[in-house]
Amino acid sequence: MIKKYFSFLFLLGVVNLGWCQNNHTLSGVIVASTSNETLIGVNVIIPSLNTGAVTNEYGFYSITLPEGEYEIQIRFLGFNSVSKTLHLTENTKLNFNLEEATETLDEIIIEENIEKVSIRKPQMSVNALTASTIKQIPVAFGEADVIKSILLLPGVTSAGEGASGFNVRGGAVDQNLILLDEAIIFNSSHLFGFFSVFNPDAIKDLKLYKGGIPARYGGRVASVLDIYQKEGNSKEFHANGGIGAIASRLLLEGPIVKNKSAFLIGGRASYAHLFLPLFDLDNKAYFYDLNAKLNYKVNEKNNLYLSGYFGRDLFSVSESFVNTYGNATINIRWNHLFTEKLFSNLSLIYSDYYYGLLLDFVGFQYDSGIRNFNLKYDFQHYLNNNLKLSYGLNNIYYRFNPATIEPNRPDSGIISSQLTHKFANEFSVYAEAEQDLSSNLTFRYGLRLSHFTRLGQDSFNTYAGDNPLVFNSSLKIYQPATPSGVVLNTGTLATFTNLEPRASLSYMLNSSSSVKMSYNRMAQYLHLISNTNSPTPLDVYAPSGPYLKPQLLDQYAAGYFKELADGDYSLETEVFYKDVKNRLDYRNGAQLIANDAIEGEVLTGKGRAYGLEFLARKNAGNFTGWLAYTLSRSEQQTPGRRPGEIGINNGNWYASAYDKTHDISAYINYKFNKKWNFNANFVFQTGQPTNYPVSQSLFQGLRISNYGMRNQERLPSYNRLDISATLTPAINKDRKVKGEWVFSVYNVYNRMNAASINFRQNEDTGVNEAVKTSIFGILPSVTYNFKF
Amino acid sequence: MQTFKNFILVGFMILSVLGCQETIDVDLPETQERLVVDALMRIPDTESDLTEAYVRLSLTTGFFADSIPTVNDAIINLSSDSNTFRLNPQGNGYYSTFVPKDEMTQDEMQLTIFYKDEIYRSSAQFEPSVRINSLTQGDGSLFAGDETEVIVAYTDIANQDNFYLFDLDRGQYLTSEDTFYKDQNFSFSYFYEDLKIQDTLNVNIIGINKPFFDYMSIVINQSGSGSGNPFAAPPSEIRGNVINDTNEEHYPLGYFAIGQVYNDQLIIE
Repeated sequence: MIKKYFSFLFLLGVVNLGWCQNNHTLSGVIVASTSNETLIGVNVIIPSLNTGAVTNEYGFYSITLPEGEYEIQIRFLGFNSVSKTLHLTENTKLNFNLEEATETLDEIIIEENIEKVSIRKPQMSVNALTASTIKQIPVAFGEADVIKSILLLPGVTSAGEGASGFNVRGGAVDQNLILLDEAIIFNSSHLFGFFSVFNPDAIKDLKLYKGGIPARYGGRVASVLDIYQKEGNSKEFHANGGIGAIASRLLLEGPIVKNKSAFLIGGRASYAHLFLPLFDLDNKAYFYDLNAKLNYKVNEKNNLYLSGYFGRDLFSVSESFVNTYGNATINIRWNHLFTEKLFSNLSLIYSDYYYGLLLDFVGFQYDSGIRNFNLKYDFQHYLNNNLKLSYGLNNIYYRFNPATIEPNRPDSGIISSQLTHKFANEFSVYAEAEQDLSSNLTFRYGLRLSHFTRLGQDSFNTYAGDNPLVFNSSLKIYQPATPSGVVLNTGTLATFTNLEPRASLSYMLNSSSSVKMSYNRMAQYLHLISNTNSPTPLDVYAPSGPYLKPQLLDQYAAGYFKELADGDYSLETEVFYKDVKNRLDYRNGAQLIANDAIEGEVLTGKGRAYGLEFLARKNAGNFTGWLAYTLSRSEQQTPGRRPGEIGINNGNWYASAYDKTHDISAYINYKFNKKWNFNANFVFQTGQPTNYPVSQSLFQGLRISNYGMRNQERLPSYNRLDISATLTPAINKDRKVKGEWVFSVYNVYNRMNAASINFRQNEDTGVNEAVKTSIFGILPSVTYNFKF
Repeated sequence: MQTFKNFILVGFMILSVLGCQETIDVDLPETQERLVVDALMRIPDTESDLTEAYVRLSLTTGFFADSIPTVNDAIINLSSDSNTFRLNPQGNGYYSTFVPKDEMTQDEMQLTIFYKDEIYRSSAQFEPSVRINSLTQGDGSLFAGDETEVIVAYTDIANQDNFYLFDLDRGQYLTSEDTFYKDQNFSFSYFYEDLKIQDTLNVNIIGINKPFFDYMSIVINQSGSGSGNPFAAPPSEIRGNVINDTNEEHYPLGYFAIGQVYNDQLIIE
């Protein structure tokens, strides 16, 4: 099977190589002139041939053309375009320094918008956001936020305020691959989801792939959020920052050796006692994060990058409940240009997710975490104008610590114990080709081969009949089995190999519209063990193994893309269908915390999701923005494994916790004048599926709510309008320090959206009642941002 | 780890507490009426040869109903390996009788209920418990600062996996498993709201098994204010260990368990 795919690739390659005569390669790096910061997604256009190239994640482009004289246009949003005439007689290196379009040159700002979909490219189901858009979108407390911004895109939802992560096309939170400078981030949220872990000042570029996912990504089945941070200004020293209602931030960057190396260091911290001023106690809740980067341009062919991230949340209640968690990553990347057609990047990444909890009132300290060592070697091979290859390999070694339990004081009865560490290795290789088959048909096809090894561990439970979860057929309940034995110092426990074909194609109907189709298969070897409505930082990841099979996704998508009025407006419509095998669900009353035998709590089922997405954008002018609508369904089915077993919800399909039938989001930005800029966004979502009690009963004097099957009801629908205004004072022009004020109002009409509905007995009256909890009502805030 | 989990959830709940809460009207789905068997038989450690076996029967009713109907016209038998005892109706859904303690603590006891021409059955075996070493009042507090801290100390039963149910009075229950404090002297703090000086707290520790531990853990999650919390597990149906032998569709709710109980009292100062 593999062989067949590869020989297919090879064949196409050879055929194409055959055409390459008297062709020369034009390549180079495009940077911003003020900072030498490489620019991602810049269009390099050759009008006479109606062709072009786009810079990659490291600002590199390469295009191969027949010998001749060409006009080359360089276009990028927010920068002045550059045009250059070149007589191409040999392989040529051409770097460009783009100048930022300044305020005074408003009328000639390039409206080539990278957030706009590229009509010709086979890549579909992708959304890009620039750091400036992210900063303009009004959010709670005025803190610009990556995750909150992507929630405004079609097909992306979350469980609401105070919920960690995001859901893409009816997928679970753990099915998103989140990459920060190529390092895997396991928890994207600060303060239980109120903020995301990414510092908006440090972000350069962000892409969210929802479908048609390129072969270079793997390991998660729903989406890829690929974030690149700025590398640092190697021309001159700059600082920027902001002072907000909740947090402040500062970012410094500058040259170490001018034009050769630079540093960037950024920090963000919230104020302590956040949320907790109501209580006259020593309570704390805060977060901070640090970004540090160094880059070194060795020569024209080699660049080195070193980057680190460290973030922590701390939540403490009168020293008796202390909760700390966060990510730390460090990575080294080496860009090397083998030839003007072959770009490579080697990354070595270490990342660590830590979760710690101290509960003094039970005398108990709990630590857990995941460490991984990740090696990636990626190649981009610009064979010729019609064919671009990318290939590479990736190896990730994981070490999971499900829990270390320790007494926190000498008189505690808790005994130190260590839940069995788990180890795994994930290796993958991939190759992908993007090929122009004709002037209006472009095809991208690739294959990823992933191989997962669940390595040996200290001890491993075995069960009678290999069944860790038994069904009691008279009581109709699932109960964990008692292990029949324990194997010590095991060898490799399980291996899995999956072929993940990917294909997308685009067909240009005319110069302004195209249809695209894509298929991708993906394998996910890690499972987030969580049965709460919204993930908590406490949730642990479990690797696939003898009792947990990897999740396998097949996704099909098709779309129609159109640009109107020369790209001022664009329209994207997509339909998708996906199914996921081996999706976990949990037995009723599953005990997931500090449990060494998770296999006795989970049932394997499947998931499916389908829907329609619609995105209309206005890309140019004083009014810009978009309207997104998603109609979708996300379901799960967990049938009994043997005849007589009931599974979950009697084995019927049921709505997953993140099923949102309707999801509307709108965002507008209005540039009123040089001083004032206005933004508004509106969100409407069908309420989240939940359970309501079907009756009450009495047990030991407790009034107990009885529930029926899962996710049969819904919370009320969610909707909200936010507005903001940015004031850039005119006096800025003459000042070294430039400042701006952001005034925002979150939830303008003060809708008390339900985060949950609790059914409980009123403690005073003894009467049962339904109580709705809402997190934020109307929330005005002011933030001051500055740069110099 | 249910003990810890509950505490952790309390921690996260602070976020919801800080949000705004209001009572709302909700239309709830209706379901068929079911028999509810409350047969947690607590066996105190006394010198007496006899022990009282209690059962309470009620019916499920709409969630917003004020009162819960009890069942007083059932026939209940409790059988040991050698004898069958009839539990006599005491009114308000209660049934009871005296049973030789050695049979209750040694035999697998069978519970049979005849109600509306259908037969319900369950069985249970005695689970031992331990004395409360001390019950003391602490001066710590948690979130609001006005809670009363009560410290419960006991010694885990040696050389076996143990599960305990604490009846902490005031409708407060807690489950605990000894995974991380095997054979140790262990203590935990519980925080009560609205306790006054001179209030008496009556704390019970009951021995239970793993399935009943699971059952009670869900019951506790779904009866208190923890239910529906975004950080709590989604509520689910709670099936107990009583079956309907006549008609599977009319399965009952509730549980039959026999556990040794130790008790201690504390007067709040």
